[in-house]
Amino acid sequence: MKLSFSKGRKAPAPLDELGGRADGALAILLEDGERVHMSASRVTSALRYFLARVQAGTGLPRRLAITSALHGEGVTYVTRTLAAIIAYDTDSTVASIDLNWRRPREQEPDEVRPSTLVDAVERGAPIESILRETTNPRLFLVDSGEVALARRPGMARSRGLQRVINQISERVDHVLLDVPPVLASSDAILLTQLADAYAFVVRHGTTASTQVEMALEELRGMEGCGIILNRADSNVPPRLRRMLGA
Amino acid sequence: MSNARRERVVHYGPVAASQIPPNVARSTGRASTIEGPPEGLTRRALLNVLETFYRRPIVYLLPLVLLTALGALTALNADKEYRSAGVLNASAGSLLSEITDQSPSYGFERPSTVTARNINNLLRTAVFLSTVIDEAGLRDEIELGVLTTDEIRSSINAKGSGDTLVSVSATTAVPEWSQALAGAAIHSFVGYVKGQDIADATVRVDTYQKLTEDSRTRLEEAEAALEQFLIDNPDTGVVRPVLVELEAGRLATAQRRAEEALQEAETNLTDARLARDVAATVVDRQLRILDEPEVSGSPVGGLRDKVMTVGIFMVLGVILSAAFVTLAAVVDRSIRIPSDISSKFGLEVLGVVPSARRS
Repeated sequence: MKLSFSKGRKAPAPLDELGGRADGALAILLEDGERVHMSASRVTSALRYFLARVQAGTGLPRRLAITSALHGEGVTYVTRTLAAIIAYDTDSTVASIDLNWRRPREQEPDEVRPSTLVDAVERGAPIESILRETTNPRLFLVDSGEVALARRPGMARSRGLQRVINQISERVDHVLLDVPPVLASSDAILLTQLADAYAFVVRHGTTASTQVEMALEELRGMEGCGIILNRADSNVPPRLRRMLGA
Repeated sequence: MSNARRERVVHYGPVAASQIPPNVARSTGRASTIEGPPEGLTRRALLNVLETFYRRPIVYLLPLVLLTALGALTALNADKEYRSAGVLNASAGSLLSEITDQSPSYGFERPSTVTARNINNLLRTAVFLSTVIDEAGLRDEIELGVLTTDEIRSSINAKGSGDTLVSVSATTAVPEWSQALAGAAIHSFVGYVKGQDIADATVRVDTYQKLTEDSRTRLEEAEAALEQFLIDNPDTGVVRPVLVELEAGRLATAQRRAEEALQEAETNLTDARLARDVAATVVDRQLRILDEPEVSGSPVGGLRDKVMTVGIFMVLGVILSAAFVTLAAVVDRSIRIPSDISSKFGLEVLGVVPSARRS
């Protein structure tokens, strides 16, 4: 069957074997072809610039935690995009570890769940089983798994988690930790401490400066790479912005 | 990893900031913000206000739109009014005093300004306004409730023009009323000033008038007494007794004195009248009515006034909209420009990620 697109709309360029597109957009595709992430070219351009700046400064840390003040700032999106960029642009291997624990739910009788970080921490699942491979052989995803609310502080403090993170770090060149919001979770600070440095995501036009200040105060003492202003779209006419030097 | 894939790999390695490819910086569209000099408080405040406005422009433009619409409605529904104006020349003195440089002083103000202010001040008083209403013949309209004193008060206005000219105008819904009120205001004011300036002379005239009348009465009485005495003591050719002669002499003297007193009183009365007339003439010269108000044939409030009304409402709308935007920008504590982070927290914004939805 011949596919047809609506009039005036161009068909998107095809993805290459690593999940990249000619215009710079990047996707994360699992081995079975499932697309778990897609970032537009302008997003990847901005985050490539971020990585270049970090590289030019202190250098990209082996373990980088990405966090924010509140939910909905786009931490997971930024983390996965950064991981995809590093894996696509360099010969380094990267693992994106999700540390946003999910609420436990009942498993269906015939449901087969992939191994998660929790399985490795609590049930000794091998590291290879929790590193989900993607079409880019240098990029791995680690699912957080289910942890009850009451057990989350203990999980964040557990040596098992540290051990698993260390083991993953030994397997890959860079580990990106997708950490819960600092003001929404008491575990965020402990989880951030598992990394060498952190990057802080602020959503443009949404996060209050007081909340950012409070969150940064909580993270004081830890190495900060810098701040990422996410979804920063201005409706101010470009000419006006240029006049004001923005 | 296959060799083909490895060939595509880009090795970042440690690079200096100056080595960042310009196209990478440009692609973000935010390089100037990050690398430029720190922005001033005013610029940041302005940017924040603009960001706030452009986020919901329709909401912030609503006061402007509503007030402009209100202004247009007001201009379209404005009642037709007619204006009549008379012109008064308020010179500082009489022609002679101006020539001889003996004009009374108005201080640092021009005669037209002082006179216009005096008229407007007088219009605030009930007595003067009542005089104007009577002069204009609008008492019946007041009593019938067609007009109110407040409406009349607000309809009349005096305005200085140049050094000496004062324009007194009245604006009402009826052209004849406007003419009558403007004329009445002018004449009432002239009458009021004249009344004030010749008050002394009038008192003198009244006083000498009374004195003259008294003197005349006394003369008549003296004449009557002498005449009666002469009737009672007719001249028969016989030498009258000394006492009679003395009485006749006394009565004749009294009559003569009464005549002299009357003559003096009349002279003084004439002088007083002359002084009063001179004072009145001076007032007439100082306040000359150049133009009497005429009945206006066309209503005021043409296109220019309508445009002015709409313009005023628009300016109010702009002020209100600007106030709303500024208030919203102040209240909204969210981070809208990267330099807010740098200035508030002293941290560098290393990445400005645009929204993926716009791609």
